[in-house]
Amino acid sequence: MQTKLVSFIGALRKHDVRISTSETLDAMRVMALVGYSERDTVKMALASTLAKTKEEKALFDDCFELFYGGERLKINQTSQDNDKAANKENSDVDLQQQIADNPLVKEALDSPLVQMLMENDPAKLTAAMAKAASEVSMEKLRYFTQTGQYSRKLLEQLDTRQIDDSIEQLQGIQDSTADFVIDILQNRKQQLREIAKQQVEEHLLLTANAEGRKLQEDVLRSAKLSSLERKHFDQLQELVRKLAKKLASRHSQRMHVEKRGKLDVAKTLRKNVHLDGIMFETYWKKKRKDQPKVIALCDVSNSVAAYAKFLLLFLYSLSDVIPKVRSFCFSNRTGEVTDLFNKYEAAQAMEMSFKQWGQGSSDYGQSLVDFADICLEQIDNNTTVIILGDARNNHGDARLDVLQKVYNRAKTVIWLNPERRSQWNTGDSEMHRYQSASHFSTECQSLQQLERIVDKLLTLIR
Amino acid sequence: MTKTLSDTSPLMEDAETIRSGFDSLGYIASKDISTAVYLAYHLEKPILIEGPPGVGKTELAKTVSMYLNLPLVRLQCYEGLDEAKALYEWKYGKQLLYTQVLKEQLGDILKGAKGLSESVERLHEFGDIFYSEDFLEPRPLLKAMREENGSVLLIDEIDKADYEFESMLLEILSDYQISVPEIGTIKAASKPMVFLTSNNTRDISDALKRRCLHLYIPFPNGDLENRIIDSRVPEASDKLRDQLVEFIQQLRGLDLKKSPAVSETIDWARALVLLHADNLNKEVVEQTLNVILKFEDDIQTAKSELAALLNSVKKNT
Repeated sequence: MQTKLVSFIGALRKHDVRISTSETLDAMRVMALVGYSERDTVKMALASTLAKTKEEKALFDDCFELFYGGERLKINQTSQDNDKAANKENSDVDLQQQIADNPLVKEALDSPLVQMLMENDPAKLTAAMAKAASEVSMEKLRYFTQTGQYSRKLLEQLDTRQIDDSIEQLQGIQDSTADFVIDILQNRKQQLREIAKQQVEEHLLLTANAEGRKLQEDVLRSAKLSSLERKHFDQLQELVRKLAKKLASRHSQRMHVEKRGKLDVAKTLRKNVHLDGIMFETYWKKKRKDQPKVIALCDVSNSVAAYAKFLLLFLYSLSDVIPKVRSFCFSNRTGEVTDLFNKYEAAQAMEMSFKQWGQGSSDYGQSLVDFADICLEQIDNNTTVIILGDARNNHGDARLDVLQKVYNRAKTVIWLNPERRSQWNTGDSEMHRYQSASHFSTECQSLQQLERIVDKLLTLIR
Repeated sequence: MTKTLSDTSPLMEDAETIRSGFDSLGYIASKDISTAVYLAYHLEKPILIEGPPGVGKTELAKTVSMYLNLPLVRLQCYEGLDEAKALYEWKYGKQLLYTQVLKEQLGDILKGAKGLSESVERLHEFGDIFYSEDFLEPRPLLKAMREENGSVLLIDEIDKADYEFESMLLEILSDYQISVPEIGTIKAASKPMVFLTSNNTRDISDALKRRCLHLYIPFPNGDLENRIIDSRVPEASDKLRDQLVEFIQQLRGLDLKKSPAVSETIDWARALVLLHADNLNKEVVEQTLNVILKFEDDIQTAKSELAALLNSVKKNT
């Protein structure tokens, strides 16, 4: 049972439930305490040691159903069997008796698998299946296309040839009992085949799918954003949300910093009154850090259409992470989309931002002027300005002076360019100019890069 | 040697015993809850209880302390809670006073001492007195550790405390000991049963979660809630109870800022009994809606749905 528990924990981990070794040990102690007899209790007990958030509880429930949900494998007595049994006025026990009485038949059935099938003991069958599964290293199963191959392997491992041999031998015996047994065996062989297939499919659902998803996520994370297609969008949305959450939990800590070195005289005196005014305990001035302000400006024009969606999506997720984000979009004019982001679901909010601001080719000059008009006043030395765009200005006026104004007021100006660095400053790109008025500029092509940048950014602005 | 609780109490024999024991104390527990308490008791692990406010998280700890007849030590967390308020503090006043008293003795002690080194040596013999357990002011955590026969320690609303405090708890929760630099480590006389509650205003760190069993208490289903009201407000008539529980269950389905919790249902039942209501009607509900809903917006939402809600309550009970 212990190995089963360990592999269950393995499956949970593949589904992104974080379980440490000490929790595994706890789970084992818990199981030693409550035993395996009652399924509900087992589930509750395991849940209390392994799943520690609401989301994890939901994942746990799913996995538990898949893993321990399987009732014991059972071969059904088909109606066909029963009919025949009834006709011959045979019950199962009588059949055993008849077989025992008939040495030839008995000899033909003398192989472990066949005996197991004839006995039809669910526990034995389950155990045999589990053993076969580990011997064919089912854990290596990855893809749906492999199911056929693996169920065949599984059957080979169980050595189904034994059944065929038995049937052949039985056919040699001209006897009503033998005929009857042949029928039963044929039927049970078929059922065994189906059970094996089902086993493989369940396994695929439980582990391989999770792994496949992980693989795909890894690919998505490092793929160039521009090369991703619409169909990836749903997955990406999920991924971006995960990413944002991870960053949030890492960075949501401590909002105030103690400013060591400055004594809070008043508080120290007050707190030490009962000690006769001897300053035994000292209190230091605390500095409450202002919440950082982030203003994000995102290019949604045609030239970056492929990226813009993902950048917007990220912007949207960012507003969940950092409480005070103001978001703007532009192509040739700039407009604020903060309200849209707060009000609507991601997909809808993005659609609307596109419609409103995404038509036409980019004009960075005019957009910067608009941007400055709207919120230059509110940029102060606690504000971080993030600009997402390729800086391709269609040979228009770059209006570097406006960006410089922003640069002078803000704490940091960060420029994220979806183009590769080697392409910056080619053609109509004004990147080199804008670079001169930003504290930090970098390429931002994949989610992986985006994650790293934002991680750095969050450390920077706190 | 630390004594463990597990070999002492027949009250903790299995989850079912616990559940029926809680029943008789007026705490109607689901199977999840009793199983978690059972496990925590035998594994000697803290339980982290999460769930919406008012579902009986704090009440659970109180019930356990009543059930086991152990003292309840409660530590309410808040921002800025620190060691001095949670663990221990030196009795500075007493220390100062004793210094004053000793000053007069100082001459006697040092009499006949030759040279500085001998004087210092003599003083050293007294040095440790000021930092002994006599001068230690125990705060809740230390108090819980020192209870001879064990105790129930409730660390309430851990999510309100700072991260620093959470890290400080780690030693206490995994080893049941407290390090006081001047004295050494103080081990628990008898391991306390620890309950931590959280309203999920922020994520609890993984390190803390790892050391605890986790119990999520959701809003109860109609059946359970009915039994809770029955045990808490026995004066309410059967008909009223069925109706009000059904009403609350329906209300939780609405889009509200804060859904009514069990504690609110209990309050409401009491209010309705006071008003001599024996069934729900529009008038009574409108009058008392502020007992279960704490936001004006929510009250307005509920009022606009009132007729429909009452109708379906009538149908279902």
